[in-house]
Amino acid sequence: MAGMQPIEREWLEQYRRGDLEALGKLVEQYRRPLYSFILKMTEGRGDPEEVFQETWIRAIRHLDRFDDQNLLGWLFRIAHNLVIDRARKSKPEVQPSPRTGQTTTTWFDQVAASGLGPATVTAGRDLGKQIEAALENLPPEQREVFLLRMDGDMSFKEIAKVQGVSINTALARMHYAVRKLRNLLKDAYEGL
Amino acid sequence: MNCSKARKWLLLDDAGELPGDRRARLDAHLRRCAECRTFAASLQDLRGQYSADSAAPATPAPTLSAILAAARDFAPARRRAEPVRRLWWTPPRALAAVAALFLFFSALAAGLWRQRMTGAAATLTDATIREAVSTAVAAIESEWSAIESDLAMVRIEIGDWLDAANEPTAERPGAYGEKGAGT
Repeated sequence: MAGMQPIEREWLEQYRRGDLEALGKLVEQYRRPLYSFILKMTEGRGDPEEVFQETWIRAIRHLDRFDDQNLLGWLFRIAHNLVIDRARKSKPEVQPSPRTGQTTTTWFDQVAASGLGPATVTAGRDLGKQIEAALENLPPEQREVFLLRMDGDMSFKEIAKVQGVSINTALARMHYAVRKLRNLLKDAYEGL
Repeated sequence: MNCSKARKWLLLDDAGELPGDRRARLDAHLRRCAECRTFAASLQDLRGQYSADSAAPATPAPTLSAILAAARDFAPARRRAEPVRRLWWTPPRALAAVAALFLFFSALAAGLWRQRMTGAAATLTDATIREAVSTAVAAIESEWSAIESDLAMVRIEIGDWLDAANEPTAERPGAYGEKGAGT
């Protein structure tokens, strides 16, 4: 990502001087990539609108920590932490089976389903929608890297920072994501 | 170059992060590797077909109101400005600073030497210093991004080396808690 556009910097400065309307413009400007990312990372677990709102409120509260480089990247980072927090809070719901002592539902099962979901089947021939549906079948870390690249247009350096991993790991996750998506969508591509 | 590295470079190239001097090596690999060409085509297909538009309705009024209400409470203009302490001396930054200083003094010395050789003036004048400083700054600017890119590539190379030494790597637990699916 090239960083912030001049107009975005201007809105941020205006907000810093007390102009709330300028903040509203920033919220709208980043709405599409940020909401899309949250929606796909929370997929059926919690309200994405609530996470979107909380992301902005946290950003506003801690604006003095923002380094003025890339506001959207920083928002993604906050959203990432909120999604992780929510996934962790849902962990106690996983109970060991009384008979075997093994968990009946793994935490991973809650975060990401396996196999082609019903959304993929009903997506029809719209390839864009099929890609969105197939994303549900990726492990969350890989899905997140894909979304940060495609929705957020973030660099791998920034993605690595968001996920708290090396740039090499971020690249490997994207590599696996592309390969898996291509395999999942093989029939759709051949049918074109 | 092996395929694993070529695909990482392809991804970096797609993100605009591949240093220019690597491009020729990547192209050479792609010319002789059909599998990596397929991977590149897959990446382009996904980029072309994927769209986030459908997933983003306009911000609902209550959400926007809540955000703006919070902004009113935490308005930066109302808060006392507190200096933010940041760690400036991380190893890559320290290395880059040393390189920048080296370049600065090298360029300064070179500028002064050139001035002396041309015989224009043997003494330090404002114009001499200005020219030397602007030469040094230009050299630093041109080198700075190259240094950053090179550091990123070094990190990738080290990562590759470590991955090769510690196979398998796919068992690292991810931030979401599961094992074996994160990488």
